[in-house]
Amino acid sequence: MKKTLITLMAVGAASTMAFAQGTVSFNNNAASIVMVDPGDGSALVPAPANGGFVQLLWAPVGTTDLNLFQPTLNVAGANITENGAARFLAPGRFAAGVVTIPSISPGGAAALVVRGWLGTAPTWADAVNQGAPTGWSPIFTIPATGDPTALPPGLPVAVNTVFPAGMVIAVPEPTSMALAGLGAAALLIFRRRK
Amino acid sequence: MRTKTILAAAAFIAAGALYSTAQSNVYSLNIVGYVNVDLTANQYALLSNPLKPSDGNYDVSNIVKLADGSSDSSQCLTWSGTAWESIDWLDGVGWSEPKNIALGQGFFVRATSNQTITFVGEVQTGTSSTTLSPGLSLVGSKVPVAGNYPGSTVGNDSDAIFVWAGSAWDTIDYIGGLGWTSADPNGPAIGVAQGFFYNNTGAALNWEVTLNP
Repeated sequence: MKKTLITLMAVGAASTMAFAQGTVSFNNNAASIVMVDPGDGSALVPAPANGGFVQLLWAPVGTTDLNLFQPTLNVAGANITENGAARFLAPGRFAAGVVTIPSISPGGAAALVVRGWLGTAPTWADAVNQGAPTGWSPIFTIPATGDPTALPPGLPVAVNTVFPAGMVIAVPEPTSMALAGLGAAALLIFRRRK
Repeated sequence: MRTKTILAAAAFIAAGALYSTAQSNVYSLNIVGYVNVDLTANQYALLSNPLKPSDGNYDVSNIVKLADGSSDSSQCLTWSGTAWESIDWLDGVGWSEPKNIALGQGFFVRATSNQTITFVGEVQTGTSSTTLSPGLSLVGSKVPVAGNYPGSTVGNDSDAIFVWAGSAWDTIDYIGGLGWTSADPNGPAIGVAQGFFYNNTGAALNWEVTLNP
């Protein structure tokens, strides 16, 4: 009996979670192009078409710790990978279709942040491990999302209506790369001695 | 949204594949024309595809041609049956991904500049049938003819039609035995190339429109 009750509660919670979500169109516009800092003192340039990826993360409104942001759920599309990374379609521009923000009230607000990287790494973790150029947008808030449970269903809200200008993907400076290399070498030596 | 149908005035009636037998003549009539739809900058317009493209290419790039150079970040939204799907227009690139827009399929467009889009193709003649499955369907007439749709006999009790009024929805309900709660019991006035949501609360329905030239 107890088991049945727990199962029923779990199913109920799961179905509530399935409906508790808002939707947005993950895109930017000409005023919020993602730029690249070449790291050699020269001017910023737009991220190259097909030269990298961006990913949308969310957290409850008011969150400021980037570690607390979670990936959104992505609807499969031509411009988004199975890992939820959207490629640059044109210099500095992305448009990856509708993504779902789980665990917020339908149509509710959310804090968002976009992270991006250059190269072909399929995930953020891979890009970081490979030392690829990476960057974060400022944290921003979308005051309302689309409510897919409304009748008729509410339209997804375009991220580009609130996505701030100023996202820069930085190529690691040579000194930073050297430091990272030294650290890795030290780790290897330390492990070998142990 | 202002829709101008120029079919009546500008349609070309092409009589093709004409041949005769001893008893009868058989004619194949293709009505070809276009439908212009005016879009207001940054306003959602709920449209439907009213014509069959002559080349059979139903991709959005062939159905919804925006003004390149002044439409950046425009959007097209389609309904999968359970969720929205969206694509963006990038000037110099076009639509961000392929998307099929079938005859009579409804979709939203939000253009970022005032412009007129033109549907071009053949008119479907005879009886056109649209299946209204249980749940939500985003549809429009399969022929470029305005009317009160879908008809007083098409509906399950408590079904609803949602018509986009530019910034909000108008709701029309179906009451069994009475018809639609719009001014005309056949349903709300639906313009040429206008889409609407049909919420079917019962069994699947068949909505038919007949056009015989």
